[in-house]
Amino acid sequence: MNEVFDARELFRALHAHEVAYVTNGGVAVQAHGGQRMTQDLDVAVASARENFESLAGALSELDARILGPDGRRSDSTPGATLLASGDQWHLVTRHGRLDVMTVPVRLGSFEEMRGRAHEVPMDDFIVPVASRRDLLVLKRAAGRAQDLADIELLESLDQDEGAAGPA
Amino acid sequence: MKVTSIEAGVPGPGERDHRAVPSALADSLQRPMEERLALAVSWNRAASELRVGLSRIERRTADR
Repeated sequence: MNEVFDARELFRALHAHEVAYVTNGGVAVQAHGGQRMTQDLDVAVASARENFESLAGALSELDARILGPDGRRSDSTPGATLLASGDQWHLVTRHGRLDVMTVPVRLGSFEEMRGRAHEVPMDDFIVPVASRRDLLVLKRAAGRAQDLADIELLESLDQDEGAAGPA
Repeated sequence: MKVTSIEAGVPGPGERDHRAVPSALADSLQRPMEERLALAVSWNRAASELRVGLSRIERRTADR
């Protein structure tokens, strides 16, 4: 499997299958001005059944496999029922790592998070990028070394281009 | 635009540092988010290609 990380192709597949999602994690931090590199795409998805069907379609196109904590990969692409049974999935796809999660309670509903997201054009589609405030909430909750560095960056930016989510 | 805290502090060994070049951050913030996202996607891909290429070379070397 070619595992060069290409977020553009991951975005394209999510868009093509009409997955309701918001980009967070390192790529979103970069979109807000962060200069660090990342090797995976993190997205929060709507937890409606039909959205898991859409996500399963996108993952099938991407030939995705679940990456277990021991580094082993599932034998097949996860279906909607399996995806709906968990809050977070680490996946390996033909275009690199994709981490999928449902929206944490502290951020409210997916629709609220989506409403606060920036709609960023890319090629012929739109990439929803989490607001700076929502990123800060997620990063503070995660608390890893790279998250602390991201928090420092995000807090230093006094521009937030329209986001007005919970502190 | 306030970027003062970006310029403060030095990262410890092994820490990733997106503040390493404050002028790069300042330049980045002048760009629209659309451009920043497109650049990020390209940079990440380029870094990933290098990583995959290096890993292939290392594997080939180890197999000899």
